[in-house]
Amino acid sequence: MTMMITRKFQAVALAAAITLTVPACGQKSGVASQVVVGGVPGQVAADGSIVPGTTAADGSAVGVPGATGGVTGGTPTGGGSTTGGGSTTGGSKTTPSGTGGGGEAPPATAPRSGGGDTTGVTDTTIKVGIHAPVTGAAAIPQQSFEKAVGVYFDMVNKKGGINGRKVEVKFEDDQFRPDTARARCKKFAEQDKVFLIIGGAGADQIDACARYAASASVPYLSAGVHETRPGQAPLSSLSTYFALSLTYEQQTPLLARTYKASYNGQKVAVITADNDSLDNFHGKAVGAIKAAAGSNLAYERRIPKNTTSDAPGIAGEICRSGAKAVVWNASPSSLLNVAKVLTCKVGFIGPGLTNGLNIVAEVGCDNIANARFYSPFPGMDVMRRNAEFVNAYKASNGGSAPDDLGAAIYGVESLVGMILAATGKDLSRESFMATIGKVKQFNNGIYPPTNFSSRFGGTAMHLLRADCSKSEFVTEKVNVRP
Amino acid sequence: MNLPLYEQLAIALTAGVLRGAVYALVALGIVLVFRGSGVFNFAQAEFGTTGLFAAYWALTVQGWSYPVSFAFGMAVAIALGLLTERLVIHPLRDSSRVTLLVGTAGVALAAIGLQFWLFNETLVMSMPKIHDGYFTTPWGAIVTMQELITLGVLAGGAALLALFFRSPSGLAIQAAQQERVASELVGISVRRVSMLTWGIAAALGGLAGILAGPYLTFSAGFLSFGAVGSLLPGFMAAVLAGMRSMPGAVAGGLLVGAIEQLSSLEVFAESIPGAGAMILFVFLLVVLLVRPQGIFVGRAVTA
Repeated sequence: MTMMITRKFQAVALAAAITLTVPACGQKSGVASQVVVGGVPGQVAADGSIVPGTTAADGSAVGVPGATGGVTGGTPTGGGSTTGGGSTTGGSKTTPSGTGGGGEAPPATAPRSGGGDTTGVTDTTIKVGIHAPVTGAAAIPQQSFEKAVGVYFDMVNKKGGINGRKVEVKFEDDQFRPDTARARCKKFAEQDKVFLIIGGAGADQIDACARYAASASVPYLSAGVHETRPGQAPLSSLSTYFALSLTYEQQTPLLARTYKASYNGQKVAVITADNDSLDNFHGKAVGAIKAAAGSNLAYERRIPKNTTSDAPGIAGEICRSGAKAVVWNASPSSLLNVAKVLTCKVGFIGPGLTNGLNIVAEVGCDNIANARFYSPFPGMDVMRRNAEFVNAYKASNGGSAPDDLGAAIYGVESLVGMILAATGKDLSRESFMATIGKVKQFNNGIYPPTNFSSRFGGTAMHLLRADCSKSEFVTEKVNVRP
Repeated sequence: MNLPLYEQLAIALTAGVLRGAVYALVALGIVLVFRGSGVFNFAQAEFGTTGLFAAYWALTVQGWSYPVSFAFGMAVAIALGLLTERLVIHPLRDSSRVTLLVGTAGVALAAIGLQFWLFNETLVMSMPKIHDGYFTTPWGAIVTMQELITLGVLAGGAALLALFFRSPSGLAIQAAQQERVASELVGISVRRVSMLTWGIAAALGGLAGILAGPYLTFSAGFLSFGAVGSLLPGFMAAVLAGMRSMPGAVAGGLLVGAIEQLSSLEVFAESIPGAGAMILFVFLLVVLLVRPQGIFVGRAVTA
């Protein structure tokens, strides 16, 4: 009898343990989350590298080439260069040789004045929704997002808003879960009645929300993530989706070039998370690295989204392969875990993810010393010199010093603000999207300049390097084009 | 890489046994508490995480030395165990086992909440190892000194526990669980025995947490379902030990670790996402169907 009771309770205990544990296993820690950042002050050499310690005499940021704020190319239908991260010298004309990367071109025909879907727009306000992982993302401090969201729009509102309208920001925590992200975006569209939605971070969440937004005809903007997901339409075919920076796939030539520049002739490994959305990236990355390294491509593998107990095995395989460089596209927490158990010295290279956030350097140094990650926003070494950003952040957060996540969100908000301004007074969802297709080139001085010849508007990335003497990522080059 | 299968297997088993040492420490605590008070202790792993967070705070925030920080972490873990006994287990001592189980789950969730709250600004933490050294086995497995230390601590702890359960105090723990009133009548303080049990279990959890923390990075809930999630493997090991055998808990922990690492074999690694958990559950299911009393159970225990 006692034995039967014991077994019964063993079963109960195990069931309870599974119940407690399994939900946590589904958490996608930091997978490919990218955020958007901004402000590219700092002087730049001819090759795009940053010359340290360069600030304008008034302490404001010195713009990088083609990054002086304002709309570049095309003719804004109103507003113009009222925003922008760097010095607001008013839309210097640059003609980035953007890559686009295929996909459907955005519409270039605006509806006639007064027509179109004006959900979320009144005479005095524009309602914008932003979703980001405040909880559930292992490597991102919760308060960073809360402090970051709305900083740019607060600043703009104080100056009178965009074309006379104040921007009202609705923020939702997507918990780093695609299903939650979709639900939050549905709430944005159906209950909050926002005009547009911005994806703050997290590739899978951005994917889920972008697909919903397209079905609801809501404009959706985010940093570039993957281009395709098996079994689903490519993101480029979504009628309301716009990537504000290069996609992962578009960054593969950059990764190959970085390998050649720093590790030419040495063995290299390619490690990618096993999210199905990264299948295409992995194939392209392996192809690009193989073309650059030949037989020196010593190892390639997909790893779990949240690499924990597998980390020693993966680290061992990297070391046994003899790789001196690792092309990495997986979550920051996986990076930190693998780097911590490596018994050999390797240099990490990767596309623009949250891997370039300073929290990763703080925790991961010295194991990730000199890791190079491409990012849509520059490091804080540059952004701290962007007086407009720093002042806006402090004003919104009781004097707190900004962090890189603040810079990321500020960058994407300012780019969206720039497009809103360019759309003009007659704002509708159709005219907003048509403005993107017509103007194409927006340059807020934080993100690399855009060129919306397709849904993927990125033209370049900033290259960040983990400087362990400072425990942060510093900006090595800006506006590096594929 | 394409290593031969036998090499992959040798590497996986080595890594599994080393990881299993952490599971075994957690399993020992679970079995000890079950033997001592008949409670399925879901807070066992969080005793460890809380101890680890305390050690991290002492070492990196306060700048205390490693030994002092380690001792501080252990003290906090033990204090949490004793508090659990006083504030949850003792008041609920006459409640059903399910109530007690839920009570310990509540302690675990409260501990995780506390960790989130106190370390909100530093969600991912990293602690230095006791010893940074490592070596490569002839079959290619990389073994760190930190893992060896953990294995050594497990061996030492298990030996001490074996001796303890032959001592009057150890026998008192078993007597108090089996017949509380009779134990009181012969002069055994059930209350003191219960506290002793929970204190030792919390110490085992603390050792697991503080020794495993430097393996990888850690965050709230680290030892329950974080980077070295040991709650479920620990319970599996305890079940393999019939919830009663201390040597069985050690063997079970090592076996669970080894089986889990089979997922790193190339045949599984890329073709079956989450193979580790699947292999483990299938194994446990088979064990429960074929030998529900556990496989590491002595004759005296099964009787």
